[in-house]
Amino acid sequence: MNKKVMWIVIAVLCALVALFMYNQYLAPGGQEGSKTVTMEIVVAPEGIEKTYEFKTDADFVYALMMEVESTIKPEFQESSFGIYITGLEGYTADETKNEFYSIKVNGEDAVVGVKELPVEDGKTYRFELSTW
Amino acid sequence: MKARDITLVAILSASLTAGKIVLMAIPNIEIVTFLMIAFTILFGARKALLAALVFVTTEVLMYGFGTWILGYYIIWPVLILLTHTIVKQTESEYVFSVLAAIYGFLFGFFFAIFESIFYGVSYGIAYWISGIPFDIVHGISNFIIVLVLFKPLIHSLRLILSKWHVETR
Repeated sequence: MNKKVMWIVIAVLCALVALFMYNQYLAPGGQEGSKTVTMEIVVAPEGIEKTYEFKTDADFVYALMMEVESTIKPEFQESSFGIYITGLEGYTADETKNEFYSIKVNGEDAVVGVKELPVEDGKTYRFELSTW
Repeated sequence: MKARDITLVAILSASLTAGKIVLMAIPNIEIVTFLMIAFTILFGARKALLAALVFVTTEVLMYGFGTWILGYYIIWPVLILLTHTIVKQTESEYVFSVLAAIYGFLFGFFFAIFESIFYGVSYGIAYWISGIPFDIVHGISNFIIVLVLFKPLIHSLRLILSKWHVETR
């Protein structure tokens, strides 16, 4: 075998080993979210009442909901007032029945939408199907 | 310095910039290290240093100021001086391949020193560790590039330049 080709093969192998070792021992690992929040979802007509605890680094509730999309199955709708929740856990609020999802933070009504609602460590976010 | 030398330095620095731009889409695979070594061997440390100075200044004009500038103004002249010292002993492509490889491996570490000065030691360490995979790619690609291109380029440039009556080592 050509001497140079041999050295190139050795060099590439060394690089692969070095990259493997790096990934094993030095690479920064995935870090768990720094904030822990509770999310309660209540859809009474469907008998759904679930409580989740999530660890996240998301800044706003919308980002958190998208992070856990496969778990809580959220649906949203854009409007001139911003984005709002139309569905959770597979149930879509029926506008003809005046249904909507209310948002409470530690028991108090949220005054902003999910895109503006900050995720704060230790807080409980409750989404409940309500009627107006 | 003669007009001929000034022109040569301009062409060398333009080649460095062009070489950098051509491969800039591929992270940490570059031919600047190889060209610096080749230019030092062919034209001597003085002209190579001037070309490196123009090259780095061009980089600043193109990409703006940053902490990396200080590193660039030091790292390339050091490579040229090392090459200048080594070439007095040997002109083996293997020796220069190893030099280029070491340079690539230590590239991130070297810049981490500057980052440490500006942002603190812990930031410098994090900067270095997170860039190690790129340093590995840099070192190995430098090794291969120099090993493959060193002899053909030096040989053909010596031939061409002798026809143009340009002095080489």
